[in-house]
Amino acid sequence: MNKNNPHEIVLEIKNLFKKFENKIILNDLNIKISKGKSIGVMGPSGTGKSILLKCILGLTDYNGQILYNGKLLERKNREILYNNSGMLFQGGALFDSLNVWQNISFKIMNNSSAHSKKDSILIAKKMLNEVELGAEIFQNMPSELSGGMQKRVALARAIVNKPNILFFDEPTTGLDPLTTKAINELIINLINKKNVTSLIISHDPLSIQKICDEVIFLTDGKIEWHGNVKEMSNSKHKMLKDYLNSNK
Amino acid sequence: MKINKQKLYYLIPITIGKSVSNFIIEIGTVVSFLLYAIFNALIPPLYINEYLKQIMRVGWASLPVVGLTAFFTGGALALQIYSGGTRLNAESAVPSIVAIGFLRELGPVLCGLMVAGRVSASIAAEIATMKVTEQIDALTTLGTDPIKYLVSPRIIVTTIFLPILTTIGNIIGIFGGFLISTERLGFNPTFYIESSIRYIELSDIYSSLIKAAVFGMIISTMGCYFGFKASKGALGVGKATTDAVVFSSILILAFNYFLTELLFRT
Repeated sequence: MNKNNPHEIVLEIKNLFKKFENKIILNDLNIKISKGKSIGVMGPSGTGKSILLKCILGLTDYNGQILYNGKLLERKNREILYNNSGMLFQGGALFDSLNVWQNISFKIMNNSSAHSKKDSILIAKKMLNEVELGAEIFQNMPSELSGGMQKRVALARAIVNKPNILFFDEPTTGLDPLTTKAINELIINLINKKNVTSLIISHDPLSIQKICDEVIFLTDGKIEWHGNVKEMSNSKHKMLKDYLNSNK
Repeated sequence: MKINKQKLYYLIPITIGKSVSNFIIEIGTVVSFLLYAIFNALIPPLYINEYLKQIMRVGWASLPVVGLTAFFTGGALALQIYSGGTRLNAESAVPSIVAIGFLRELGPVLCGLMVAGRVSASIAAEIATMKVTEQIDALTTLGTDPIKYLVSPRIIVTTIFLPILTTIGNIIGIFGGFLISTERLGFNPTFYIESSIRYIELSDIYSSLIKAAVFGMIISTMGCYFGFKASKGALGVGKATTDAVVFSSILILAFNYFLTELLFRT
């Protein structure tokens, strides 16, 4: 896990507040993510973990401030985050109508004319290699791939533009233990190799312990516990202890 | 159960008021959705591949459905007019009524309804599935505006191609009437063609095209709008598809009346 220049804040969340109708989902969250750090957000289902990610990415409205490299993110300037980030969705969210190489190269093909089809295929094959998949699947459709392969292709798509921050929403949900282990190792390698900052949403403490430097434990939209990953298992916080024990 | 009459007096206007305001808000949302998509279609990048895909899907793939429907309706129309016409000694009106009827009404409406069933449903199902599987969120995080990428090509292509499909449908429908009239009802082919052409006016042709373009816009807008509104998994996809087809069909028939009033006011 990377520890370079820990004082440089890449992402800052200030007084984040989100509610659906009368239900408060996120209640005055304040989070700072330093460069090169991996932050895990953990908590029971329905506690607002995925909504937090949606707020950061501008996929839902919210109250509060989100700053990326010190710049306040608004609807108009969200591109500065999109151009420098990658996101791995819970179900992969690969485009059904596009094949593997078109999915991986989507960002570079649609947002710049500098890449020809030939270049895009080459880049996609290189990315497949980075996520430990054979280049021979580059023309397969997403429906022809297993769940684990889809997650890897989605990861390849997330890192194609060399992002400096990666977001993961439940990266191992729905995968068998062996594939979960493989995906976790792949994420750790990518984060270390590419020296990227990351925010990982998960309800799996084992994955969080393996990947992250810091952990945020959310319940009912509030930060219940925030600390170093090494301190997590020894924490005396009752709710956190109960949560960790229930996942053993 | 005891009903508080005073409360009921308030409740009725409040419910009606809420429904009316929701309806107006919904119309405003659809119109701004449509305008945003059209405006964005003019700004690069243009996603040419998406336009080409939609041309194949809306234009080419709808041809058999439109052609078959038009052909059989043309034939049935000729039979009906002939059968009714014999009561008034007006059998000779068959060619002109089939031609004018097809150009003014049946061509655009039938083509619109057939394409609504085929294209609007498929657009709604596709976009709704993308919505519930987070593919639309993925588009956003990849720096692509989902409305510009998904909606603009569908609306532009359907609006342009429905008049083309309708023109082909009109020709096939009129040919269906011609075939039945000459082969089954004993009309002279030369007389039939001459009678068909004699009474057709330019306004019949352009009104057909105007109606078709409006119907095309309705079909794609409804498909995309309900697709984007979808939620709650498979149930939401099913609801989006049904709503898209139902609202497209109702709006086609309603707009057909208003356009007829506007274009053929006497």
